[in-house]
Amino acid sequence: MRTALALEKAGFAVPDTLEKLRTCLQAALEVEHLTIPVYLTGMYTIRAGTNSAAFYGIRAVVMEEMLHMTLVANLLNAVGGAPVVDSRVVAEYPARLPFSGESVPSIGLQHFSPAALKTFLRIEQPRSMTPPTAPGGGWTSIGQFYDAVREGLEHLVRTLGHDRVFTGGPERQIGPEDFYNSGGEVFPVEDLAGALLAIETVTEQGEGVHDTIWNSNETFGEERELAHWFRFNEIFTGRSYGPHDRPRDRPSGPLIDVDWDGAHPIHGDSKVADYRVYERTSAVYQQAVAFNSRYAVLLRYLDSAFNGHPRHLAPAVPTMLELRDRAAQLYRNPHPDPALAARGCFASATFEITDPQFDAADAEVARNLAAASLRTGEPVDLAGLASDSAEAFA
Amino acid sequence: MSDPTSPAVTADVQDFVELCVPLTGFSEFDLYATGMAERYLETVRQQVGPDRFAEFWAAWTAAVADGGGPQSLSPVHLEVARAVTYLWHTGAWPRLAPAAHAALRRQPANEEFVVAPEAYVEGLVWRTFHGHPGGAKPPGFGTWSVQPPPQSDILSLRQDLGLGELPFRAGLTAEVALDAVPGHLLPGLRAARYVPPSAVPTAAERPDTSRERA
Amino acid sequence: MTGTVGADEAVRRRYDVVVVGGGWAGSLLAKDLGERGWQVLVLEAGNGGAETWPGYLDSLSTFYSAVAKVPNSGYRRSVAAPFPDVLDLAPVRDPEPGEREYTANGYFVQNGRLPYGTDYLRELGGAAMHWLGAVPRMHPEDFATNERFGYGRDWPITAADLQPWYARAEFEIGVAGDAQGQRELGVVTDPDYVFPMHQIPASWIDRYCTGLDGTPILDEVADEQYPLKVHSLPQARNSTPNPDYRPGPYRPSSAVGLPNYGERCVGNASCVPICPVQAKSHPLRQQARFPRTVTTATRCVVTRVRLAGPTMGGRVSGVEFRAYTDPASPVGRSYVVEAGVVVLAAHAIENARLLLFSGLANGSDQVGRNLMDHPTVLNWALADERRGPVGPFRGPGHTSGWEVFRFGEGRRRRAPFRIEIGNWGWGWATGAPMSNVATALGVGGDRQGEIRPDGVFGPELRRLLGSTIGRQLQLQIAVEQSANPGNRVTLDRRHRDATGNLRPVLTYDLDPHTRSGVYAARLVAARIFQRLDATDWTNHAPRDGVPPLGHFTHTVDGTTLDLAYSGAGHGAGTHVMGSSPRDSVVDAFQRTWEHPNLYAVGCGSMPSIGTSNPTLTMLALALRSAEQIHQDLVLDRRPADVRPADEAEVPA
Repeated sequence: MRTALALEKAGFAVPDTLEKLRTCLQAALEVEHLTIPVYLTGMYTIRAGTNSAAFYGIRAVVMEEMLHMTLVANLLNAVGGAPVVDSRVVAEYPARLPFSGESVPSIGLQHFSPAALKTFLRIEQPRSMTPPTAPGGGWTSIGQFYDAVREGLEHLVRTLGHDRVFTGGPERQIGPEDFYNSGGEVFPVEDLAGALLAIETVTEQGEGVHDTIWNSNETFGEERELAHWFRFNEIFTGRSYGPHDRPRDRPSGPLIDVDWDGAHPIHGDSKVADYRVYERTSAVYQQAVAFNSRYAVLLRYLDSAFNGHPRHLAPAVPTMLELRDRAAQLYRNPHPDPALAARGCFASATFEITDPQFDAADAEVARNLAAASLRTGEPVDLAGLASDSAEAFA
Repeated sequence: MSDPTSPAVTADVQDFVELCVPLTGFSEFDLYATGMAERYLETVRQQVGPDRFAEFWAAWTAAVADGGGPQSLSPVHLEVARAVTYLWHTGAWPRLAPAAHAALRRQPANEEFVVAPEAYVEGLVWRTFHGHPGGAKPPGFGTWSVQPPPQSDILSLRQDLGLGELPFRAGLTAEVALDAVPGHLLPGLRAARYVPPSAVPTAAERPDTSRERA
Repeated sequence: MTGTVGADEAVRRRYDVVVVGGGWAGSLLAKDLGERGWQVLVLEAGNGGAETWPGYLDSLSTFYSAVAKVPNSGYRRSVAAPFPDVLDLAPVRDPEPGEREYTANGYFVQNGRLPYGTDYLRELGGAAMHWLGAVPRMHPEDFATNERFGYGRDWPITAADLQPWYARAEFEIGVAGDAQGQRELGVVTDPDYVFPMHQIPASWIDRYCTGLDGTPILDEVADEQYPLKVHSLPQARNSTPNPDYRPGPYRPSSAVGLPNYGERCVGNASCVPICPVQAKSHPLRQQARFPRTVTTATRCVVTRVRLAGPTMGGRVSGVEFRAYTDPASPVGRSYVVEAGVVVLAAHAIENARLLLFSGLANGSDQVGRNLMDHPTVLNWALADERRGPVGPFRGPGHTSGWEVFRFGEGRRRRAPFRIEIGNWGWGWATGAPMSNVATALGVGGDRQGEIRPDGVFGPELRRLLGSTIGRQLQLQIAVEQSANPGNRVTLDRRHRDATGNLRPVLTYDLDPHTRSGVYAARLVAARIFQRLDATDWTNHAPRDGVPPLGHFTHTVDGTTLDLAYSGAGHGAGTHVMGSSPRDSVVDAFQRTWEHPNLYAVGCGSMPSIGTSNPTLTMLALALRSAEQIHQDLVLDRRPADVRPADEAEVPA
């Protein structure tokens, strides 16, 4: 979150140089990633066999956040930048939501609960529901941030000329042949039209199209879906939207089966340092560290994929699936602190990823990317990976 | 919702999980990680009856404490120990040896059943060979091409689980030689598809593929 | 997708085409004709539901809960539209010599010497909801085994006729494969062809077996050495798109009911019974793309095809069907719907049942005859302990095979066979890995029901399971069964289902040519295991007096083997196509000889099935039939004679 927090601190400004535009897009990448651990925690703390509708509702949003990250990376590459996915992307939770004004409380890792859903709703709150700030004020919303990016981009195209803005190589663009199973189809960004479509997708999947509860997915010939805030509101209120509901209406459709007891309560502020105290009586410490190490590996695969090797997503996806299983295992273990366990708390993934973990991840990622056969256009072949990777994938 | 008056796991479940480590060969973390501990304890109690379960549990607790392991259990308790282990490994309660079923005077039918859809998904057997349950926890596109990791060795398994020298076998004098596994520890052909896994016959001894007919 | 409608709504109109059955063939054909503008009604006997995501999750959960995870385990039994299940068959303990060794206790009545061990599913999507997704093309010589090798029935068309239709079917259902490998086998002939998606990656087990490439294996029945080579299997499963595919780019389809899901196989390793992410292709995808011209009605059991009046030249006018609301109850209501063309696409056995009951198309006496399957012999072994685990129960059911035994002169002496290199350990043969847990623990007692003394626990159990499951190899060998008029479906008024419909009565056996194929396959597998230094645990002999299902003995050159086969789910041959109405039921377009507007499509039309899983060939034929039906309808609808414009006609 380093770029985003620094940019926020600098105050509201429309980027007026290519360099500033690229900085904005790096910040956007970080912001899109910020919510993923928050939503994953809400989703994977759901107890197996319960809350299926809520699970798939949150899942859809997480997938769209991943799509947004990728679209932002394509955009940044298109304007000659180079996305960086390392420790600067990682947020410390509870985290500030940048560009959203001081009124937004810090965002912590919370188990599936009304409180968590309230947080989710606050994160995704559409601009139309956000009270306007005084003229000349600072950042007020993510939507406003993206407006600034768009304005800056259009301005740069006007002043520098299209071809001096869109200088990135097409081989750096991630396309649907490598990015799949996510919230909509990714597309290469090669010109202003593509760039504007990417920004529109990112903002409208979150907020809804203009004054509706729907997102923009119809652009891609897909079924229309609810925008994020409205998906979360369905879960929060336990009722689905009806076909004629407007953004400010309470959902009027059929009830959804939401069971707030169908969750593993966690103490979201727990850190690996807290677990370490109980290292001798609980394997949670070791497993929480392992989770973070594997998360570092995932981010480094993404870094490589975003920097000229789209096919390097191939080993990233199995790593995500591994993290899914590891997370679930942590949430089902009692908190190692007996006092917290006695109060009903389970362990949790902490998403603390530090530089030593990134360094270790770099070694593994480099080794695996060299061993696998991942050339663009060719079949994906992971057979060269060492067998310890298979253990991780199982 | 988090209820500050009820603990994450009860003392009963804690005790159950602790002593299922030497039965299953999996750590407490792994057992809790299934999310099924409480459900399994309930299932076992229901299947063998609360009183008989208590007797079994006392016997198993003693067998672990005095270093005797499974072979110091009575035959009926040995069969219950197997059923508990089968449950953790597959998510299903097995068909018991009819003699044990009778001795336990069990009410429920002596039939295999899957405890819950999510229990199947949490079977530990898949992890013994670094796999994942068929139809769940998929590992991702192309991962089946990667060489599986080598077999874990018994010493480090014992060490990791803190299990020392306890013999984990019954009716066998030594650890099974992996390059000459006897047929009675392997499954044979299912004569029909409805035969539940716990009723599949053991393999005949190393078969001969051809035989002369008079 | 316009969604499914009820019977009352469905019968309000007259249709151009009524399609009986919402499975693979019916769905592809209905979509094609609907896209050409014809009004099409699809009548599905079974229930719907899996086209919604909660409905699909319900199937998944039903599968999780099943003790016997058989192909139909994701679906509930139905009284209103019953279907066969592999659980219906039971072995007979201590059978008298020469007596049947099985009983059939389900939907099928069976009186054959050997059991017909194949199921299907009456459910929206049909048996394709539980298929594996293996889609190899048939080989040119498979179409003319009689001419070339002196056995079986020949086709009225050739592999060359089907090539373009194969390619179209591969596009429609989304096939991943290695075209070059298929060209080497001679089944793909276009030198520039590539599949829409790159091949599904080979499993580690495939690679393990590739070590034998070049090794000759003796097949003593064919009296020939066959050099081994592992070939990748084309599969209807989402993989990486191939940028060379034309016209590109190809986009893998998402799950029906959950957007952006299932765009790649993620290795759930449960294609049969159910792919949890729907990366495996199935007909609900086609149905989701039905144009508005296609109407689908579920829970409509077609009971009879109606013959039109005596002046109509043998044409049919439509179908009768019973609609029900509760699958658990036999209560229903009858309807009639009329159409220009009737297409039966209800599975080989159901198509035959309908034709027989309707008394149609049977001038040749071939309806219901020539019932085929791929008798599949299972072989299982433990790989060499020194070389470590092979990684079973990962990836799709099988991703490669040994193909060399499928072709050539050996076919004169024994049926050919395709060796599937199994990725799912001993699951099919022994119920592994669950049964490994049971036998290693010793749970369940001995033969007498006493508690077993032996067993392992804890770390020793974990180690033993890791080794004995981790090294499991299984070769499933599908043997060609050729058309034999004695293998047949008949009807008997004494045998009805709960709604009063006549149940299929099956008479089934394997002829000596097929039995020799099973025998040869078993010995070849044993030799391959030997070459791999694997310990062969295969044993098909009766155990404690209980013969396994499909058990028989077969003698070649004085040596007798206990053998057994399983059904492959490849029901075929019940309304064979041919070049003459004297000895076949349908023509080369799957049109019944006797009723110009009645088509019977599906594997039932196939005069032979070679050693290829038949779905792809069935779909190529269905698309070809759709083209012909379109031509028929155009001819029907155009005036017979259009006079030149100058002949004093008044403009409309």
